[in-house]
Amino acid sequence: MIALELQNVRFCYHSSQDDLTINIEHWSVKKGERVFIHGPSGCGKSTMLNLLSGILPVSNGSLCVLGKNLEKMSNRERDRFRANHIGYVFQQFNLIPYLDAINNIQLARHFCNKNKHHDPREEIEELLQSLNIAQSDWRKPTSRLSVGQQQRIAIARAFINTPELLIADEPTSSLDSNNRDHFMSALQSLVTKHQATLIFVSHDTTLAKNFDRKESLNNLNKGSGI
Amino acid sequence: MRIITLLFSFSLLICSYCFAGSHEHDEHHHDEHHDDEEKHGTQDAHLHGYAEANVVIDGNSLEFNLDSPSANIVGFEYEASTQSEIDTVKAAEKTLKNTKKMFSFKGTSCQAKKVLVDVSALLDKKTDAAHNTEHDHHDEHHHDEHGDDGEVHSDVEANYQFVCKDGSKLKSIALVLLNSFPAIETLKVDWVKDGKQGSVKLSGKSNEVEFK
Amino acid sequence: MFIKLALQSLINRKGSVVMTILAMTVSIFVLLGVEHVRHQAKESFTNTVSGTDLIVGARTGSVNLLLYSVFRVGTPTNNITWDSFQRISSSRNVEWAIPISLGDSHKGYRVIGTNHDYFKYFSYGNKRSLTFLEGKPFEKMLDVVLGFDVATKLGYKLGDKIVVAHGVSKTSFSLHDDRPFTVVGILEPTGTPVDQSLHVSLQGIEAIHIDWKQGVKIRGSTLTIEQIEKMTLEPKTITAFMVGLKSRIATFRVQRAINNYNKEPLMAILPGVALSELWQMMGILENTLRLVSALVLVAALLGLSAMLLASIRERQQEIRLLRVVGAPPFFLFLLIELEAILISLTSIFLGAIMLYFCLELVRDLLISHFGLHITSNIFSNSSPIFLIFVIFATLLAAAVPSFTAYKSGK
Repeated sequence: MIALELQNVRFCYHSSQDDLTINIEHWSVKKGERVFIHGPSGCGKSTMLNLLSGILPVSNGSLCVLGKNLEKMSNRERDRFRANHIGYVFQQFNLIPYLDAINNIQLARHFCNKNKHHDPREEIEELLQSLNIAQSDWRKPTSRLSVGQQQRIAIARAFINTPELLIADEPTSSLDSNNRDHFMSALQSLVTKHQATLIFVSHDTTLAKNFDRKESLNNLNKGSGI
Repeated sequence: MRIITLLFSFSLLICSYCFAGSHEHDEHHHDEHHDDEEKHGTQDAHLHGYAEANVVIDGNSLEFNLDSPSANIVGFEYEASTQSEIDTVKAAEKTLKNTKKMFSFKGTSCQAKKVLVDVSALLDKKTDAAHNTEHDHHDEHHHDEHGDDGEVHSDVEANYQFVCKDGSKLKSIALVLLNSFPAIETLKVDWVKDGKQGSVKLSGKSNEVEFK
Repeated sequence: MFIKLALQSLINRKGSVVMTILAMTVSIFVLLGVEHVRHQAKESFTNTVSGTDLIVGARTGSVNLLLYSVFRVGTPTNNITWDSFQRISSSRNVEWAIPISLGDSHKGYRVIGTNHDYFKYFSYGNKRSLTFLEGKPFEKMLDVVLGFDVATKLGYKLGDKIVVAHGVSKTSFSLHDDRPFTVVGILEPTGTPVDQSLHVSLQGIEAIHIDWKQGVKIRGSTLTIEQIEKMTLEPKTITAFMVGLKSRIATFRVQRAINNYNKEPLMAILPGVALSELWQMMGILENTLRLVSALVLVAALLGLSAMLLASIRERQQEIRLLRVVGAPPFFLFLLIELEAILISLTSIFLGAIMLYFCLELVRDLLISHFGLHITSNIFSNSSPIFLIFVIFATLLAAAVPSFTAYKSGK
């Protein structure tokens, strides 16, 4: 089973074809695989992740995610697809700062059609508990929580819709080593539990040890990047 | 609170200005026509381009009065002497008598019962006499009033009486006469309907008297 | 979730949001206030004269005659003779005629000399006639019937003695203190200037002026009330009179006949027509006020738009996050519009409350200065339409920042 398959994927921000940000001939990821991607800043990491998650449409080529061809979908369909199947964790600003943890997770739930009628409250609480967030912090605006807590809540938010694909974009770079280890183990155990495919981007290659594959975007991307 | 006080005193100021203004305006008006009034009572302003009318609806009866300086109707104010002038007066009289060219009723239909057009000021006695016999059957006191001042004024007057199918349903009257007599630039219409009263100033562009 | 997000986001930016709400509140207050007062003034005036076909007085401006005879605003230019009143009131088209004699006052409230026909025929609003809260019409020469506001504001009850002052000034020093009136009746509230009036018989007016000349009391006069009561006090002049016709079809004919009355220069006006003329005169003022209030609203809406636009610059991360969790760009558009609507609704609510309390505050002032009755029920007339318009204008003003959010989500 293939989770991700890129075939001659090209992307450029402006309509001129000569300034390609992304140009990948072929790349694929098996279902359940954990891929570590590294590369210097400006090699097109964020752009590529935006393509994989369907935020940006590819300019050319075929991009198959979980068996669906994203380039054939409309904008609305890609938004819907992302809400239903893809979890996403950023380096920072993973949460709406003025909403509390529970509302933040519910917001992610709002755009997903899976299990619409079923009250997610229990799941949310379970997730938060498994991520070691104290109950007293559930109802605080997330801006008042520590960065470590925020990143863990971000994992909860990313997993609430039981995504088949999880994309993490330098999620640990603003954490200290203690919080980083904590974060990594929580992430890995949830990925295992949900049998999700993980695309993890970081410049910190010391984190690569628990991954199935290690890729350098520089080798992969023939485009200029940014 | 300060803004409110300010706003309020501002509006008071404007109101008092308006009330004061209304006196001045009317007193001025009054003075201007004082001589006239000595003789005839309140003869309204004889302004070219300006005419007055009133309409009253009571039940299903409707009465309309038009009073305009002759100049607005025929283009002159003296007694018609040449054939073309007499023809002009006759043509105007014919138009004034043709209620279709004068009014258009909205909301219900109204049938003319009596039409009385007085162009006596513009025609010499002989023609005038003929005109009067034509409408001899009217014994309106309206007519009597004319006895006093009929010779002097140079106004054209017209009185119309209609019977409407359902007077209460009458929404408005379009005064198409403003198209027939474009020299009437402003027509002030006072109206009474079902105890309501009002006044509008009409022109060729807006010729509808709405009863609301 | 949608509303919660918009609400929380607004609360998170309270500083700028509160300022925007204040600006909007003031503009909505002004807009509603102008509209309400305008509408109410017209309605109140129209109600007052609705039962009267003609008002007859001395020659003056029609608006002037209307204002002093009915609304007690301004002063009469001249009186008319009692003889004219009697001739006209007995003519065949006239059903009833109510004489009115003005010139005296009590603590700033006007005293009206009239006769029993006032209580019998005067009607206001939708053909409502005057009714007594307490007591009955005046019988004796020195009886007085009080309007509702006079009685409540000054705390009079039946049997109280009232001294009438000469002239209409609130601080008049020439009092008719030798001949006090007795309160025999108090009228129910009407919402018209009747509430601010004291009603006495024409004979009463004559009686208190019997030994006065040129507005000054002649010293040494010792006529007793008993002596006066024996005299037949027929008024020589009155200020104006109101006329009700047998058939309204004759309205303009009677008006014309009175205007051509040869014994004395008289003027008959149709009160509704005179009001229309007054509104026409006020038209420019009205439209100016409406324009100003509309501009105030536009300014507030531009402020709202600017505030939202600035907020979007600060919320780029939030927008990216919403996109990532699957929010389509249109959702962002709606979110900003919703925030604008929430601000607008809050402002409407606050503006309405503010207007309500201000009306309560200035109501007495309006009544005593202009005889203007304004209800505090601000949602009675066209204001709902205005509020819908405000919401619509808000949507339009917020379209720019909403579209910016939409675009930045692309």
